[in-house]
Amino acid sequence: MRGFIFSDCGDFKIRYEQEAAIFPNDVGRLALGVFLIAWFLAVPMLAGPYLLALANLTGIAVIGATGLNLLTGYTGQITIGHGAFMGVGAYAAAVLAARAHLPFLIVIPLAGLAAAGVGAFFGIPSLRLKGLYLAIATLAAQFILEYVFLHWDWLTRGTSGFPVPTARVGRWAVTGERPFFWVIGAGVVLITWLQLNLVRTRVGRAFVAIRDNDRAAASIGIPLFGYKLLAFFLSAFMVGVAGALYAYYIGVVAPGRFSLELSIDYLAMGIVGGLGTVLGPVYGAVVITVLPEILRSLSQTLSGVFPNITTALNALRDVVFGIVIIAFLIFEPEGLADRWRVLRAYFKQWPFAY
Amino acid sequence: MTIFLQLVVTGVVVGMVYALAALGFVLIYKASRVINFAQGYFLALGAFGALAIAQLTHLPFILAVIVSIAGGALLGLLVERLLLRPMIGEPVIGVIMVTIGLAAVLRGGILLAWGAGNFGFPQLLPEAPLALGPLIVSPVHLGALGISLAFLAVFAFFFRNTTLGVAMRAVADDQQAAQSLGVSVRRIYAASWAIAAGVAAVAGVVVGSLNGLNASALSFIGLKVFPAVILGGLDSVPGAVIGGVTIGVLENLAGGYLDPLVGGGTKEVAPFVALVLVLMLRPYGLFGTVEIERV
Amino acid sequence: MKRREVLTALGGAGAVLLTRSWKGSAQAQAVKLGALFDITGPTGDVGTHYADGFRDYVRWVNEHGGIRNGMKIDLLFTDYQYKPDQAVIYVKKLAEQDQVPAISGWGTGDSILMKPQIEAFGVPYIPASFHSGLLDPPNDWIWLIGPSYTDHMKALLDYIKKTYKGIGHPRVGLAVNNSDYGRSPVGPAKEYAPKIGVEIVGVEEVPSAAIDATSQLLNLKRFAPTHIINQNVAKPSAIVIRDARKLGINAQILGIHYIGDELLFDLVPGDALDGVIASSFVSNWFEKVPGMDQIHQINAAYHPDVKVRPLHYTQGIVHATVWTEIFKRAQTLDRAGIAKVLTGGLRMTTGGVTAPIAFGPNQRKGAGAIKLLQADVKTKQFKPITDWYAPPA
Repeated sequence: MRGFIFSDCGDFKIRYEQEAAIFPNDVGRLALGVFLIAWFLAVPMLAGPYLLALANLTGIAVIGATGLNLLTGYTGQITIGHGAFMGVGAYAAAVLAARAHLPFLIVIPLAGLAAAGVGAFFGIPSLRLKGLYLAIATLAAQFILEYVFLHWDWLTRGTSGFPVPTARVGRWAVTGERPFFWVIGAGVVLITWLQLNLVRTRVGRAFVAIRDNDRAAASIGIPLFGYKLLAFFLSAFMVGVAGALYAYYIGVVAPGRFSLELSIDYLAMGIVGGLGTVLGPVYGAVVITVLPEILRSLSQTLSGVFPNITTALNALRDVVFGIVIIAFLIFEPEGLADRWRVLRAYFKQWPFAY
Repeated sequence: MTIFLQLVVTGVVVGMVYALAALGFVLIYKASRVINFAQGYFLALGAFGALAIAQLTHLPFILAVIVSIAGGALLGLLVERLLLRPMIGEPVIGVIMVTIGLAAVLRGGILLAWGAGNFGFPQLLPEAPLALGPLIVSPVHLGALGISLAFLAVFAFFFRNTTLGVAMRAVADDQQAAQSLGVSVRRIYAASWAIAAGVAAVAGVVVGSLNGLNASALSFIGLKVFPAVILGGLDSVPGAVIGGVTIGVLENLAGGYLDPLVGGGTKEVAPFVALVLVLMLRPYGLFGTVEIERV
Repeated sequence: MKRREVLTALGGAGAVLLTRSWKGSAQAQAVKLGALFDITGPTGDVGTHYADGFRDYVRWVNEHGGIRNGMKIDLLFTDYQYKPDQAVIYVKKLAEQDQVPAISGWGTGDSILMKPQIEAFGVPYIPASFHSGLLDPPNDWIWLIGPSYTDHMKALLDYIKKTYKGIGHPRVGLAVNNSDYGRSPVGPAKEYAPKIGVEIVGVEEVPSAAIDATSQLLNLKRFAPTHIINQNVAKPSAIVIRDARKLGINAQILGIHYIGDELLFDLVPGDALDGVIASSFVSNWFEKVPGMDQIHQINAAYHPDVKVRPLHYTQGIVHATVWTEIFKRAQTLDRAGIAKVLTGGLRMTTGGVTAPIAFGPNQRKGAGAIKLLQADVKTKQFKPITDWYAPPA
């Protein structure tokens, strides 16, 4: 049996697989194992419904942000339409569950595929457009899809909202914070695993090549359009899964949720967390989801001193959100993932400076 | 037929406002290659600022508007200095997000200062509608049209005949060549942001006098600007005008003819459908310069 | 290094605050009331005043002895911006975590969506919406404060029929909000109108964020309407009134309750607003009734610089008054106790601000009467043109 490798003290890799391994030594694997056990077993027992609800919303955001990261961080295609793609996933889940009476475990991937299809469709402009122009095309996609959500009454029930039937896995009805905690947690693990492996394969390398210099990538034989569409497809799939989970979790799908604000939130998660890394979306999702809640608690605590602060909460949220984004862009453009990397490197070499 | 003409006329007036907003947008893009997502909030601030100044200082409204425009220009300068300078050299997504962040801050600021309610400007023109043949126009609309046209004429003159205007065009064409001729690019950046914010303030005041002031309504114009500038060309000033007017007419025609068929809301989405079509067929718009990429 | 310390401190503070709110705020001598308000959302133009009225009255009660023996009302509220999923999340939090005995709601759409949830939780719920569908069975926990939008609509249609002096029959166009709230009275209108000899010639939707209603009104103009009824909040109603005048439509314009009343004087330029009729279940700010004096007092105490308030402020106070009365009469301040007060039969008056309020086993709409008001641009007031009367069944 191989012993527990604590630290790599030299480069002994002789195969490509070793190079592409996720963890260079066993410490990471141990930490991951401990963390997963703690997360899935300890947290639901110890945390109250409010924290669990927060964790659930954050988990959904992580899945969506991972999708965005795949497209924007790894493939370099800016998208301002992911809020709408999440909506496609949510509505697809609602329709499949309520009208086609499909079970929960089938609806989620199908809804993801629906969103993926729509995402790929709106990725077609990437054939001719780059950068800013593509971003504007996705902005148009956002508004067009919002219009469809609002006005295609027959399918989406418009502003009335679409109630979603209870999720069932076998005979177990998934209702309440704790069951959703496990379901959403499983979703996060799966999607992160998918992302991790995707970026290690040929597909992931093609994405990165396209991001870094797409003309050079084309010149070495990477079919640009195919891979760009694939990036849109996979990215929209992930955010569609997030949308489907959201639909079941909240129980209601309403058009107002999947607005430009949500797309911007996802971009913010990417920026704050760090585009182009796998854990970046996690950090970003946590910050962006938890921030309004902290503000809310803060305002409730301070409402004794400033009685009108709660009504100003939404305005404050906007201001703080904007300041956080600008601050990160100016001071920490690589995001929290980079800060974590620097921190880890510091401790790895401590007490040496380099 | 009258309905068609009526819709076109309303569309032209609304389109002129879009043109003013688009003008500021294009100025910023031409000079610094930045897409300003906060343009709509510059508009809103211009309108709300004018209102606040008029209410606080009891100046005649025209003077309040002028002060608001100056304030807008100042804001543009500040934004350029504080937010865009540090972002020079950063990838394009960073720059987009900075303007998005700015938009969020401005939105929150306006909500904090004035709330989400609706406000009205003092009435400067009579309200009774005039009849021009079979068409009905209100004096406020005509006034808005007149102001917009006047500003556009001023800009045409500015870019062609003044030193600063020519310098701005030079910087937009070829920064290095302009620098080698002694043009201070930094100053041009600052000037273009200041002018763009000032123009946005004018547009905001015009819209405010047409439809009252409401933060979210005014800022939404900042998003409708996108179809207008894409249609006209991101770096073309006449394109901005033509694009703006076209989008205004298009959305009104869509609203008038398509709404009964689909049950409403086409006005909001038609510009974006047009946007997608333009992007697919002619991404650089009617008058934009085609970008040639070199490996 | 300094930056790291600052960030850590902030993170720690945030964590502390989060856990604080997780434990919930425990105040011994207070009864909790959950409330949803729309202050910055699409119906925020009227929602702000409603929220002000509601919160002012709660503050007043708390400062003047509370419910009984100094027991205060702990109002847990949020500005949910008319977003249904935010409403769902907040109601879940109120019901599960804060364990509130009652919830005051706001919007039609989200109330419809939350109905099953409210039934499941078993929490008394009174929204500011008057959508009749909310009372459809199965319903054990929802009550309305006044007549439904359908009742208002029927009353207005009756009034139109009664006062129409032109040739043929009245042709009525409807301009409604593009939401459940807007569409609430449309179906019943189409059913009821033919029965009394009124024709509904068209239904147009005007969104809350609209800056122009030209195309919608041109669509109505094709049918030469004699009347236009608005089921919309202040801003879009103002746009409809303004654009109708601009397009030369000579119809009499009416509106149901939320169209904004005094707010419209600032939003509609010129005298286009003159003669517009609104139906309301609360008295107007300028009416001389005893209850209104107290409302003026409350407003002056907390907002001395606001001289005139539209009816939504009054409505907020009325809602809060009803809740206070319910709390006073409940034997146990929990969900069952509160429900018992309402099903058992609660009779109260509001000093003339509304018609007498009566809840009972078969009566789930509190106030039973409305009155009509008409705008007078010269005095900038909406003046009552009828007395309280019960809308047609």
